[in-house]
Amino acid sequence: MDLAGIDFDMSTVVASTLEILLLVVIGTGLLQNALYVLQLALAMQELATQRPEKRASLLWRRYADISPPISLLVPAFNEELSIVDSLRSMLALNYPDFEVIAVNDGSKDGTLQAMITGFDLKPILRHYTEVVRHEPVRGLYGSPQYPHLLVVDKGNGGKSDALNAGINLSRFPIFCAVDADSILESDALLRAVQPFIDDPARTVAVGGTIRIANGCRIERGQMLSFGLPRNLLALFQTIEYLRAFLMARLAWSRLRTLTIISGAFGLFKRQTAIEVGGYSHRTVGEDMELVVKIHRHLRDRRQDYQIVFVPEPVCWTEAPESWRVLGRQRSRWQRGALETFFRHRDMLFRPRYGRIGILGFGHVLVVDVLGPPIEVLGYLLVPMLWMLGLLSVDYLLAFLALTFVFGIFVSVASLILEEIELQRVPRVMDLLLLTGIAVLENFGYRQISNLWRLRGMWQFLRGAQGWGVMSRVGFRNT
Amino acid sequence: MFLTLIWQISVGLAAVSVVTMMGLIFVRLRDVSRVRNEAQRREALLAEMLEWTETDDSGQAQTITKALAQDQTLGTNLLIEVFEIVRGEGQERLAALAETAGIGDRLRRDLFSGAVRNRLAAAEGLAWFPSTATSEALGKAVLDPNDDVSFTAATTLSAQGSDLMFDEALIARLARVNSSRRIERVLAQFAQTRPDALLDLVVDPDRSLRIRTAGLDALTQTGIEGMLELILSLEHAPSTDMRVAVARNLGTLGHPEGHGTIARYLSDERWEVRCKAAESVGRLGLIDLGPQLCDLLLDENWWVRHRAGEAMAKLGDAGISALQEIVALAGETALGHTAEHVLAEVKRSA
Repeated sequence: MDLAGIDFDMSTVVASTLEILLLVVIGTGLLQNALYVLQLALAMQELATQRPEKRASLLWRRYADISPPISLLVPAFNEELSIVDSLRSMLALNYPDFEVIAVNDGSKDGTLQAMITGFDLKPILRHYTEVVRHEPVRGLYGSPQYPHLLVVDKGNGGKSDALNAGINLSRFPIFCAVDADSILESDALLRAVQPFIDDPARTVAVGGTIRIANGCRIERGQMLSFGLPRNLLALFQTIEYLRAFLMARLAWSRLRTLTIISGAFGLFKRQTAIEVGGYSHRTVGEDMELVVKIHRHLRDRRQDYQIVFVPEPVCWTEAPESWRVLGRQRSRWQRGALETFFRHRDMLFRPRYGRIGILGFGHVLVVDVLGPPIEVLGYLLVPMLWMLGLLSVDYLLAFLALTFVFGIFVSVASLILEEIELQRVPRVMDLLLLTGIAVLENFGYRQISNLWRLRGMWQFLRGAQGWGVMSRVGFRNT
Repeated sequence: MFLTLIWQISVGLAAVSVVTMMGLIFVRLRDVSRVRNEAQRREALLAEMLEWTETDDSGQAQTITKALAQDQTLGTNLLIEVFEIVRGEGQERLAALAETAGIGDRLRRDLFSGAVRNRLAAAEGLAWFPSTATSEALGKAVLDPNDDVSFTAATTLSAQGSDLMFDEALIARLARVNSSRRIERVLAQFAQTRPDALLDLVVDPDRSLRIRTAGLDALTQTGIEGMLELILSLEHAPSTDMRVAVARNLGTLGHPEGHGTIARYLSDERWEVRCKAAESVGRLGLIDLGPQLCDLLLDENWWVRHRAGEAMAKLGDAGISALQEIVALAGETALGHTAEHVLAEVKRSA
């Protein structure tokens, strides 16, 4: 036996394997970054051609008499402290015709009692039919003082279950799902409804922008002034949300390949949601699942439709400020994306599903399914091999470029988009701070995010269920 | 080589983005005092305008005219807001002042330049500056490549009593975006000024159904002579949408000769038509059709059952008594629940 020969072969095999692995890492990074560049270009084009109207009074004059009525669905679980203020703020929205349906999803605290006391509610009867499944309704409450408010008390079944109850009880052709701990800007509905006015036959769903409320001045459910968070984690998330909404969703919306509308703020045609069975149970990504189900259903029926993202209607939400809670949230989001991806995996690259199967699902495959493990593999492999002298400096630089430096470009470019087109950040110092954060988040935060996503993958593979606890500081303290 | 290029491009793009952002921050910094001054001037001018609409002081008028002429962008934006608050004679006087200051000219120029947002605002704003020059400008703007701008220009023109034709080009354009709810506003305006043209449109089977039904709705609102005949001529339309429109418009018109059609529609094969007919029965208080509404409380479609219940409640004491009787007799059945829940809702809204 020629041992020297075996050694030679083994080292060749190891070297070749490592090289292939490195090429996969770099190739995936290149593909991801190419997708980001495409998104940036599309988002820029969309914002340049569809500049949002800033004057709210003009919007009212243009759309008030032709705006369809909307049912606002507000699922609430253990929201005792903030629910009354939230509902008051929603009841004061600037929109011609809407109802607010708050669904108490079997809260363990005094959420229901807070609403009963806050709005002087009494038990009522309402005629409805159960077209989508949910836990039994225990009672309905209303008040003559607030004729547009309906409170539903039901057994605990999760957010999707509560939203399904809301869909059943709603009477209007469009419903808007809003998180109970979020704040809608007063003209958000008037802005978000525009695609339903422009193209009511084809529009089936519309998503709006979610922004971070930490640091803003909020009183009794009303946003008084904008401010940046003081917490570093919340600052990182401010940039992340800008990138996700102003760049990614706007771009996919332009290509008609949007696969997610945030559960915190999204409008849907009620009939279409009913046709797909409403929100799905047994998933933590019920928002993405509903949008993908709608795509699938309408593509199967070969129906012409559109799902749109509108950048200016804004919903403010509180971001987690602790590493533990944020990590749990990100793992859950990752799990939700994977659940939907694998539940509908037959849509991937299938011509029947057109651009949704190719671009929409292709993007999920590259960014959510393959991206995190391959990037983490790169973090482990590249520096180690370079230090062992098995890797040329060119490989190291290319990897650093794709994982750190290019990220700076994408984050800062999103901020540039925001500044040129929307100018939502009022103070110069805040802009400067955000620019710094856009650079800084690529060194550490992004890598930790990837680990959280890997944990989400692991939970998905183990078949974990449930949301975990989402403790927040609360708007009252901001 | 390729790997080096990745590094170089990434570093280059990151550097360019950071430098660009710094540039934007510098521009912001430079504009801080300008923006503050503008806000102050805006507040002062707004107060001056509101005061002048009360006092009609000539000195104040001169100050306002001068301020509007000096910064027409600020003036235009401010006027759009003020016209939402100030109506009637005060608005007319303010508009005359603004015309003197050149705001009308500015809007007529804006109608043909800049982003859609600006052209649209100009087409809307010119509603307050009626003149021959405005009519000419709006007439040209009807041909704007953007549908919104075109429709708004057409609506503004029509509202100013212009003799703009409801012609093929405009109809074709309306048909192209036929699903948009914006066409309702255009058709409503033309129903006031060109009902004859709209009548032709509604009865033309070659036109899109959406335009025809929206046209019918608009015409019914005007209450012109011959509407009943027009609606009844469409009674047997094969399209569900058209029959729904007929049921809806008969409910709006309320003519006794339309009751027979409404009664027939209560047993139409399509639930949408039955639903709309039930609504019309309630709206017109057609007590004779009460028994048919009772039958619809057992309809296979929930919306028909619901609207039938609501319509019964609108029939007054007779309808309410019938619902109460159903509750007593049908008890814990689906029929009994429908009647009970409808009654509870009616009681609450009363």
